[in-house]
Amino acid sequence: MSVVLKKLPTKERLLQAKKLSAEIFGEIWNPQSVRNGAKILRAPLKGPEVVKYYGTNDSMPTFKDFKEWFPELKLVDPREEIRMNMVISRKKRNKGAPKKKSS
Amino acid sequence: MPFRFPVKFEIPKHCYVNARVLKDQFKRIQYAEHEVTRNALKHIARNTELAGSVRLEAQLQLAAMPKYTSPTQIRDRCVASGNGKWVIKDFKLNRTAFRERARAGIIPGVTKASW
Amino acid sequence: MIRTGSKRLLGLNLRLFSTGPKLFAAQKLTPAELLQQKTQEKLQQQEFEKSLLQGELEYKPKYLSENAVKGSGTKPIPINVELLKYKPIRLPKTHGHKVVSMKFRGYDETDINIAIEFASRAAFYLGIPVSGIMKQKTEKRLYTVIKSPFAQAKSKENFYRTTFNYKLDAFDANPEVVDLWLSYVNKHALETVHYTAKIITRESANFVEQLDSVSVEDVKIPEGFKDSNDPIMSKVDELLKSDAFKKHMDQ
Repeated sequence: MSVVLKKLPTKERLLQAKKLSAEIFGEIWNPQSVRNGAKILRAPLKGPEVVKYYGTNDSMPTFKDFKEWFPELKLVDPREEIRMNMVISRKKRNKGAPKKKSS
Repeated sequence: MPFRFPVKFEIPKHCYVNARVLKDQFKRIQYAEHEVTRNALKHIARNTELAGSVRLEAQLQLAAMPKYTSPTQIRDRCVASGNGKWVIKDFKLNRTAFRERARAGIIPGVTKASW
Repeated sequence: MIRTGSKRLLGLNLRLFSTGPKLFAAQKLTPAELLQQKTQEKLQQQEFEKSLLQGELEYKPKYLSENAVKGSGTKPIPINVELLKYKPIRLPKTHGHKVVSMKFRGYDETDINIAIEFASRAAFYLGIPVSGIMKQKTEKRLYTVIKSPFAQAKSKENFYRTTFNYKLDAFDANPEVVDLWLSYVNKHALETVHYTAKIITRESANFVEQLDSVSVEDVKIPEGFKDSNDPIMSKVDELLKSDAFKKHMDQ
């Protein structure tokens, strides 16, 4: 059953075995390590991860979405309310944003 | 008001948004869209088994692609404040935003160090 | 070995407090007696199996303590609920072959403890021998930030994030039981804990002969880049066939 190696196989023989294994496992056979750009093909695509950095919009609905979906409820965002009140009060005191240049 | 980017895209909902964040998001989307083309051109340009003129052509085409499709144009920005400097990658937070949250005990596992 | 003045006292203490296997109570049986005992056990088992198949089961819960629960009638607490107060019970290993090594990772130590105890209790009820709860190295990552929002960069503030690591090994279980266990643990997984399981499978000694009998359709050999639908390679082919590259290729 078991085979004992008397001596090491020759270099050619080893290369043949390596080539065969590369063919079987779908690897690129490149014994001279020529620059064939294979490492660019091997690398996984980074795009899908990069796009997700600021979060995906479908992950959760926002307050604005609920407002849009149920207009009959007349939902009010308290934080937005406070901000608008601040803007109005500032405008009353002439501290509001400057008017846009018109030409 | 006209849309200031060459292609329309979805504005992120779940983070702080300002002009610079929008610009970055636009570049990210463009990079993801053109990644396959860029990598294909890069592969041709770097493949020494192909003819020199083919490789040159590929390199020229790669250089002619819009700048916003390049990955080097993307910069990680703070999710909470939109700041582009001193962003801690583990939390996607700027140093001030991180410090505020860490002191409030909002970030899981983070405590004030003492030794 | 603890040495005390009086041997008698120690013996008494042992008898009072030992909950483990009865080391001193092992009786020596003659082969005939052992055979008789074994056949009796077998008969009992058969009877039990028969009763399982017949109609409804008789509800006879076991109790550890007879204290009635206050406010909820006269029902005492079932033994499996009462056992939650104690460390998870472990089954002895039969062969000691490791089957799964689970890792638990998270920022909250109590949550990890809940998760790991749940897993080991589930293993006990499924009949899987598991190791004790093993604590691995705790990681601490340091973050130093400037205290002020602007300038005064000399005064800094340090924070660290602690990540706790725990490990649980399972032994000598059938792959089907292991799958059942892992899916049950996964179903009730906590969100704050990161679970990883490394499953070790064993093949029989004649694995090579088994491989020979497998047909080509059963095995999926990984394909190279050339003929596959790798997006970049297909784009490369498309580009090389376009007009811009064709003129260079013809030269």
